[in-house]
Amino acid sequence: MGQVKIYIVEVINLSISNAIRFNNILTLFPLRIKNLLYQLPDRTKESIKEIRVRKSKPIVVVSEKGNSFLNNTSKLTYIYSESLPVVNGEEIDEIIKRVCNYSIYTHQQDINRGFITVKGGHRVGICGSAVIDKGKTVSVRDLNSLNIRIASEVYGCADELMKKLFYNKVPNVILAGPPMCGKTTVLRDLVRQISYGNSGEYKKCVLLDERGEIACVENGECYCDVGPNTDVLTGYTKDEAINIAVRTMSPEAVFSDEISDDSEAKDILNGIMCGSSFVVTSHAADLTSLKTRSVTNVLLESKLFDYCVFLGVRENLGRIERIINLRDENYEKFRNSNSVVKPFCGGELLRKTY
Amino acid sequence: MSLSLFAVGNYYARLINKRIDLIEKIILLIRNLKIQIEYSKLPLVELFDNALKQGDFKELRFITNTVKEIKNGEQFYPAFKRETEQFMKSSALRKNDVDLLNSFAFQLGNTDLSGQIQNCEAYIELFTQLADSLKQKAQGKIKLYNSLGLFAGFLSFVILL
Repeated sequence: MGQVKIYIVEVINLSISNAIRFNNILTLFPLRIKNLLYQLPDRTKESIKEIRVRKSKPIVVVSEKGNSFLNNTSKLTYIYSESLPVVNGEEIDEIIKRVCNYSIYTHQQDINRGFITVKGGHRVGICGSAVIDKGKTVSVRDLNSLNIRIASEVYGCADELMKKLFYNKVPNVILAGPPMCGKTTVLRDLVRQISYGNSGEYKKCVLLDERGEIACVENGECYCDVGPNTDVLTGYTKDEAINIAVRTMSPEAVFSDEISDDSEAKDILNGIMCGSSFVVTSHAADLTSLKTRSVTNVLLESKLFDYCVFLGVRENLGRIERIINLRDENYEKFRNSNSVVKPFCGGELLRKTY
Repeated sequence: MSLSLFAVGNYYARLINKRIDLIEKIILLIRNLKIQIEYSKLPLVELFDNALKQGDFKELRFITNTVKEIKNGEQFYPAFKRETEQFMKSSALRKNDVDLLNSFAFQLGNTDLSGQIQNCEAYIELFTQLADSLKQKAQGKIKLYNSLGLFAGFLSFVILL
């Protein structure tokens, strides 16, 4: 049995600071909330990942330190009290209108799917009451809760992954981790580096950016750096995007964020069979979760994927926690045994590969 | 006397005609917006921008100003309302027309696609009815003042005899 090896990745931030990104998204808020958030110290703004607004509830700010509430004096408190300022329904409506550029009809499909991506790649999650017709959500009414997730672009956060797995080749990789562990940020840096030829040669990359939050495309221009040799398909469903990519763009590497259903997994496997390499991300805390989720289990069982990379959380945010070689005999044993995950994977097995 | 009555009649008719012209421009604008919403699904600011480029809407100065204000971070409806009310002071539009226009703008952008199209259709109908009634009113005023002018002329002729 091998040992778990934790690779420490140096995170070098050459991009816009989070505080600036934070200030940019304040345009989405009505004046009262905007003022409260604007007065937060820059150091606090740097660490903020999410802003949550709920009807008749206080504003919750999520940072590396955890969840906190915004009080009347623009300070974050970790203790809930009745005196905290609350968000009213009109303010929620106003935020929605601003998020949609006062054109809700342009985002109806996004609202039905539960999120809207705004300029800069920030994602706004939306909760309300679904109106169902023939089993499909046709509309969402009484919007009552929003989660504004601040996008971050971290140059170099995929360096170690590049060194370990992408030297002179692009294997099929599942990038996994719990929510907010930096999967999208690592994927963005990975596609950028491969597109720039850091893997040894300039690869033709296609990025399937369904929600527009990786490349942050606006008016046809990418606002996040995804490399000079990357084609971006934004807004397409995965199956459409994979078909277009494989048929028309002849990609050497395809990158896709958050696969969520079996049909997507089948499309990805078809893509691999067509000769392209795929790097996909998925929500999963460990290998057992990956195997339990039907979508990722389809990928694992296909034996077409080479590696599974788990990212850490909290103090290891965005760092590689484990790399599992899916072609290793120990993994095969595990796959056949259906046992609880043992720490059989990691550096030692990787060394065998290289 | 008859001439002055003719002149008054024509003046009122011209005022109403100006108002009708503006209302017809508004109908054209709403038609333009409806088509753009239906086929391009662009955000409001771009819809108005395109309308300004495509059609002859320069006379409707409130559009240009509203677009400028939204681009500066203003909210759509308050900016639109403010600009239409400002426009009313220097144009032939009346309060009723501006209220109708503002109620159209209040719904604009706030519903899904089919809601927007239906909103546009409803207001095209309402503005068309308004324009038709004004046209009838203008004709009526011209006829009235012309008849009054003729009557006054005839009366003064009889008195002079």
